[in-house]
Amino acid sequence: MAAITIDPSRRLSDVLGLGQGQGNPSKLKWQGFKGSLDVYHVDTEATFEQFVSQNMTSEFYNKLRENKIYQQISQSLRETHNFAALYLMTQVLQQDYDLVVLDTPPCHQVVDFFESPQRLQKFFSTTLPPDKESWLGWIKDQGVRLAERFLQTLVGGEFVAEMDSFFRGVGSLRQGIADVSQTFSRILSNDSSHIALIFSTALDKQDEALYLSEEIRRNQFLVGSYIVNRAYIPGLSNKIDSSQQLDFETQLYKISLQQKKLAESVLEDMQKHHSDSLQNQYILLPDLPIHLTSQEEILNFVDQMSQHWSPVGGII
Amino acid sequence: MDFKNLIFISGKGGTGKTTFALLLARHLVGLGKKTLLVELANRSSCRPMAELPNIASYLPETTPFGFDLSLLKGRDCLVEYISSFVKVEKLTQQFFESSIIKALVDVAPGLNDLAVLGKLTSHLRSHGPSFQYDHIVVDAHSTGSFLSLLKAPQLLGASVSRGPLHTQTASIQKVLKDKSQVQYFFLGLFEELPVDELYETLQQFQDHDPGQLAVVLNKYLPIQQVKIPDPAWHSYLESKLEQQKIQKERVLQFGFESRALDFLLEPLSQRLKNQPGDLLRKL
Repeated sequence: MAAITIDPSRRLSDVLGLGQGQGNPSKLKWQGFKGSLDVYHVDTEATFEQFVSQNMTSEFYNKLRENKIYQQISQSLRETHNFAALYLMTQVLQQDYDLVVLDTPPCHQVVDFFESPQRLQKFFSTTLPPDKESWLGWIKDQGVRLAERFLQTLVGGEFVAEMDSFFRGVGSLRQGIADVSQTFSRILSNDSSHIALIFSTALDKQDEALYLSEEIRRNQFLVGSYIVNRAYIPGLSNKIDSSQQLDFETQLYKISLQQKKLAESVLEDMQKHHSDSLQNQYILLPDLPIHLTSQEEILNFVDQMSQHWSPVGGII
Repeated sequence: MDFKNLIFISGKGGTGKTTFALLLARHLVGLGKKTLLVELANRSSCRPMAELPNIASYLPETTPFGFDLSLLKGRDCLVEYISSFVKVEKLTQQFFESSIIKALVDVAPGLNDLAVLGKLTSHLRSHGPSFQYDHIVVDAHSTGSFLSLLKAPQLLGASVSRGPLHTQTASIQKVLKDKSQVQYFFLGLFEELPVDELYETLQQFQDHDPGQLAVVLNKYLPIQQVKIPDPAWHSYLESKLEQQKIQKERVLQFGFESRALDFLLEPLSQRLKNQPGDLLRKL
């Protein structure tokens, strides 16, 4: 198995106890298990450089590396990170794994991530001039009025000159980027790919989940599972009576008793919203007081989770 | 606690940034301050949380809770900025409506982030169209994205040695490190991984004055002893309280201003309507 984490904050690596500098991938072998798990973390700069060097001649590449804009974007700016993640994913999927799991960052970045291939392709098809032509001259020819004046005001002449040199350099990446974008789209629309959308019952998270599932559908991919995390405390048995004083603990307990019903209704609403997708799975995960900081705790968590796994309609 | 003019709120996903941002904005209104709450996203989180109609606007709109609310997108900030120099609005619109410029603005590395930071700090730099409030509370991204946002002026500024881009990126960076004007709150939970990440985040702010940084641990449970005789509840809550104690001690070792935000028993929209009491407790 392989797990790829594209979250810059390295949460998956932290949970698995993988420190920095353990190689990429880090290889995990757990006692009692026949299989193995390779964990990949996106090293934005190294991955981006690998991609660029594979898609242009070394002479051209060395020249591009002198460009100040390229020097900056090959570091941790968000678009570069998204693209590096896409590229890494396509590389990993070419290897012989039975299962590849991609751990994505929070909602607002995931939409950017899914749309990244189209945005990059649009950028290359509409913004770049034909080979060897000056970028500023080209956009003026395309009828972008007062382009020079606006750009001078916004960023200044030196930056415009660096952009011109940058665009001449990256033009040769056009095909490579198109290939990665197309491969990514093919992967996501493949029947053997599955998108699991995980959220909580907080109002903004429900709203986000609905928005994200719509955006995923708009990009012509499908969500396979809707999972409410930390939905309820398992095993509660309503041990209070109506005369009990409403201190903080009692109020909290009463809220907790309602949690499962609330989470079920959230998923039922989601199910009604996507009634055309009959194969979706709707699952509640319990809130277990286990702290995932070691492999032993992860195995304990999985064991307990399998006892409390709670499907809500749908098909498992 | 002393609140500065420009307040950024960040933290790991799910730690309660939006909740805290809303409560802080309401608290500042309660102190008689003219307050703006700004969201940095393609879509509002504050509106669903506060049960407001979800029609987000770039221009500040007054909420029933007394503070104004605005959703900042990079492109909107750029358009406004250019318009302030090129006085003919129609020309500015034509420029930004060009498919080439749209694609460029969408993908150009760091440009949107720079535009947003430029707008947020414009009143402190006296440059460009600005907000005029006693306090601007920014519900920023989760920490990874937030750090990318803050790096944008430095990375773009380093790509030129002179000109407007160099000048403005330098002035933005200066303001962001001014502890008399700008403050950063990092949210966490009383759990090991969120506290680990808090520590890593604070390490990445070593070039900022420590006085600018504060930690808030969310969902504090003011419970001394578990009383309800439900075994499942007892086991769950005991574990939570133990973690709360452990993580509190860890965070206090970091040496930064540290506070706790109580677990909210009532819906947030209800709390926002009520007269605010104390916002935070000392950790």
